[in-house]
Amino acid sequence: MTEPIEPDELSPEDGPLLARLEAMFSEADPAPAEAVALAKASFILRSLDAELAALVEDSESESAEPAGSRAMAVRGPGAAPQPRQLTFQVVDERGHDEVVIAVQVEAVGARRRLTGHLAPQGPATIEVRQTASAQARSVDADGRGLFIIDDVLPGPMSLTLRRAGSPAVATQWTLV
Amino acid sequence: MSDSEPADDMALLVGKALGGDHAAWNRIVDRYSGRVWAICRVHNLGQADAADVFQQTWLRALENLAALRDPDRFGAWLGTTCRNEARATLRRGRRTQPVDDTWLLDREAGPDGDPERPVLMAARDSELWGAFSQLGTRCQQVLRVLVVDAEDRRPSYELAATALDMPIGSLGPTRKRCLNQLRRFLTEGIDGETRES
Repeated sequence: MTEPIEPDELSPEDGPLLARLEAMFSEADPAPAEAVALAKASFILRSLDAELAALVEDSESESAEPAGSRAMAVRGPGAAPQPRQLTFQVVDERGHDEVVIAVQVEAVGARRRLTGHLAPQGPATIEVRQTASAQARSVDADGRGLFIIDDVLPGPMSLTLRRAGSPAVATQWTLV
Repeated sequence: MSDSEPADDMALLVGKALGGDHAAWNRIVDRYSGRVWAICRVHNLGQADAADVFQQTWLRALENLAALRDPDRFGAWLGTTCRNEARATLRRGRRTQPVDDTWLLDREAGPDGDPERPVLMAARDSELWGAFSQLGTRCQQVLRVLVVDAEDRRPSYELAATALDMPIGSLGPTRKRCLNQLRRFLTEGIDGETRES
């Protein structure tokens, strides 16, 4: 933000009116106390020891929105929705892929099922963290690096990948 | 938290939070929660989606804290992140069932009184509410997002500009124009009849 900011040209009666508006909103539609408490509590969810795998591809992001008919087809009423594909990636200093965590998100009832694969392949432990559930859960990825996590609650989630001999990798928090 | 600190202290709070000070993080959340919530709401998110986007925005802030020491940058970053998450959520339409509460600002004044107006609202506020809901969407957005900024007497234009996708220099003039219109609705009455007051 380098643009200069216009000086405010508020008239003397604007101040009280702004204050009334502010009071009205904080009365009628404040940030819910539970949401604020959860945001504060999320401090303990920091991944202190893990490398961050950024979300580099999201099949439902704006830029990834296919221009063609495919998007129309899958969005039509009654059509089976195309599962959302997320790709998280750690890139090393030389710009090479270090770790890729690819995840497909499907709605199963009110929950989500995550089906994923890892590159490089190989066994690993995947931990799923959510703000909505106090306990982190773990699943094992098989020898080919495939894993399934059921019963993920809708909302923010992050996966932590742990492998013997490698630093832990945590995905960017993502709303599913 | 009753007091609000000067903007310079944001860098200090972020530094403390990075060092593991949970209380410092709590103060950051307290300080910006109203604004982040307002951004969720001006994007027409229902209560459940707004709560998710709110959480997601804070989790991402935590993830990126090291890069957010500059207070202006922090506000702009929060505004951008919250806006993007809100838009993505709307696009996905994750929760297709009707939300339990329509967006605050969508409630229209009914012919005789306003059934959807929050019940406990004081008469004085309810008059303001009626006038506010007559404003155009852009005015409602600017007044909602910038009004919460007023809490620390340092309107964070950076946050509002990114959250609403508006040039930073147009916010002040837009707010000015919207306030004038709001005042006109208030003094003239919503139906245009002159009130004695």
